[in-house]
Amino acid sequence: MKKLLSMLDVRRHNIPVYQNRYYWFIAPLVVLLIALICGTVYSTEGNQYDGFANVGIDFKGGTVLTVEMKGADMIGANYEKNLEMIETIVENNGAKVSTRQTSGTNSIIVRYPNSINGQNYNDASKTEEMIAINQRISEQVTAKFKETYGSAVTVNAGAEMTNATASSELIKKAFLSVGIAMLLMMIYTAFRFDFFSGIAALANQFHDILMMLALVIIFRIQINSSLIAGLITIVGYSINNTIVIFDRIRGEVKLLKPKGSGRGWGNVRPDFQSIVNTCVSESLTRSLFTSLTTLFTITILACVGVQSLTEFALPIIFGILAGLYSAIFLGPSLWGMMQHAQVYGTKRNPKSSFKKGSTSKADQMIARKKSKKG
Amino acid sequence: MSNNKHKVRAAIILSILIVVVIAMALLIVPLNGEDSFPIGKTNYDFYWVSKTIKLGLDLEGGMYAIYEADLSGFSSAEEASVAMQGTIANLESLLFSKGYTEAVVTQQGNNSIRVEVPSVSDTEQLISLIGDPADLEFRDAEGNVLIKGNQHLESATAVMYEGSYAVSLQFNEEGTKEFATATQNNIGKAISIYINNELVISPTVNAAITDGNAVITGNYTYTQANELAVKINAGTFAVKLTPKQTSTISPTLGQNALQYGILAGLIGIAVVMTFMVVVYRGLGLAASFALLIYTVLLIYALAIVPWVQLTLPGIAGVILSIGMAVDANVIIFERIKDERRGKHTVAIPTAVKSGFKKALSAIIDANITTIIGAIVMIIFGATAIQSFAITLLIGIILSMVTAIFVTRLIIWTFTAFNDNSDLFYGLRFRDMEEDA
Repeated sequence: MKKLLSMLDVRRHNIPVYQNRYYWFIAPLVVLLIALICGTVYSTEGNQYDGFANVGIDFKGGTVLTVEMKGADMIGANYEKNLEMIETIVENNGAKVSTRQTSGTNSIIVRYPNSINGQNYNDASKTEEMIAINQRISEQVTAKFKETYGSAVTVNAGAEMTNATASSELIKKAFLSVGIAMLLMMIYTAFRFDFFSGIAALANQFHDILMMLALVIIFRIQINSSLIAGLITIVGYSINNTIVIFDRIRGEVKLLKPKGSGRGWGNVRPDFQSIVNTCVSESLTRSLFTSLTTLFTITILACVGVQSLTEFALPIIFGILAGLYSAIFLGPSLWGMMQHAQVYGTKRNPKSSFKKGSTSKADQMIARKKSKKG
Repeated sequence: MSNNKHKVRAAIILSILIVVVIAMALLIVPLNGEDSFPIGKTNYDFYWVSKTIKLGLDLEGGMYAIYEADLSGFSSAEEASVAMQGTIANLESLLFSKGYTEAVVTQQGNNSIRVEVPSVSDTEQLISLIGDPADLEFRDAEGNVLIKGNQHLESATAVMYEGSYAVSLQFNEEGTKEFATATQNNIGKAISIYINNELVISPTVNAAITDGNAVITGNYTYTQANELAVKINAGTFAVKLTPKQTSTISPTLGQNALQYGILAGLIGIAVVMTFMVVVYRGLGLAASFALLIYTVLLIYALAIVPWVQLTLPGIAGVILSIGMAVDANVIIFERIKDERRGKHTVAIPTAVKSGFKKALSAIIDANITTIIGAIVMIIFGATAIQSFAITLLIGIILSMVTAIFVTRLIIWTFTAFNDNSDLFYGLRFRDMEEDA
């Protein structure tokens, strides 16, 4: 145990974050590319998938099928059997039941997306066809129940199309509110830290959301209201890790900057590679542990064996991992690159920037000369 | 403070904390599974805290109603569709304002609206929420209709007015203008208010009213005034609704999602506590105790704050916040370790103190960003997002308070009994061994 813990204590190793700054962008780009390819394949005709992403009833609308039966047991001991009969008929007609519930004392309600054999029927031009399919399903269900329970029972099956429960208004508002929230978070970060930290934090959030959505598309996880909630959680959560590292950087910068130099660096020639690497290495245990404790709880939720819980927890797990990646590698690298560009200009001048020890007399002389010229 | 005094105070605080937490925890779930508990020979009724938490359609079920909309008054399908969308939005915000934040309103077929309300179990309760729509009209002495509820009214509420209850009307922008003109033209004359074509009251206009407010008085009791307000509100919908059918519905996720969610939460707490104790030992023990306090407080907060209607994402948000609650402690403890690393001459209480102080800026900045996010979503988000954001906000604020203050208090009580054991506080490092 002790050995394991000391292995986790990574501060002794200085992680080369800044040297490899360009490489950190490769992994996210690859994931995005895979998502694009997967989505394109899913949306081509002739497979079982009905589009680029797996959009749920919440957003697309679907059909509510209510089956009521009088004269025989509907939701008691026969519930499972009755449900199976309904689901089989729906499936035979090319649709797939997504939620099931009982209603009152003698009804079962199921919902299915208007997606028949991988084809989208939500379009207004296909409404008539969908109504016909629903009609057929209702008739078949009625017939099946009569056949099973005898003609003495009264069966009332009605399938009606419903609009999306999450209206386009809701989605618009969701994106608007997330956008405003991210903008305000950026302003706060820029105000409390520095402008570049704000930009880097915003970039991290974009990265985390994009990674989450990419993995949702790749694994065809259903896009529904719960996913929106998950996205919001990650927007709020992943910035915590970013800020913990930026806080460490803020402390380091304060130590290095000469007093009274205000926003500038005065005579000091900062070595951003060393600042980034030291701060990330020293915050790494912290970042790993905070993400770990959260991952524990959410992973357990994913593993208890209820499909809806798993579907909700998986994107959040993706989001937390993406957040950890961006907090450690992307954010600090971006910050270092922007700071470097501001202090030394965008011209590549590896010798001056990578030199260690910043306050030697010679360096100060050069800096003074430079500032006089400027 | 002398050492003995410190010990006594620490012991008292610790025991009070433990007793209060246990007492609060006992009130959450009925151990005997009933809604009462026996003291001596009497059974006392009690509303358990966990049962006060409202649950959403996916976890608890509720009722649905289908309303048929009368679309005969609209000339085009487009116009009717706009009116339907407006009515759906009105119904949603009406239910939200009554605390049913997870209610779902959808259009079904061409001319029906499906309303699903969680945590409601009988038709009367449901109808009393939405109301039996009432037509409201203001007419002048000649019987000309001046104001129509479904065009000019924004909302109606029951208010206290001159010693009895009355219904206060708030007009919309157009209604305010119309009402100002109407009162201007009828000074000294009576304007009659009709509800469902029945005369309710016929007050005389004294002056032009330009602020868009009117009050219907009638010596009502609160119940009467409220009922009338609900009906008038329902009458403000752009389309006329008639209830067609209502029935109960079971949870959409099945009965066991909630149980498994709670189970996952309990296991999660246990795993996080074990992790903290293994990694941070004594400090972790303090954090674990603070985590228990956090969990109990959170359950109470969810039960008390209105607008909280827990759904699956809500439950997951709560479980997530349990993981997040110790985040701040991890940050603090790592700082305490930093304070001691290589400087084992620093006394443990001093290291703890400066560790807390130095970690504070990171914790506050990190939490404030999340709080900003939650507040923005409460203000700008649509109903389902608002309720989730409220749960999130409660979780963040509570976790920040417990992580900073409660953990600190508990560690302070620990140091009363032991303030120099590197082993207990997990503050022993390799570099110290090398020094020694």
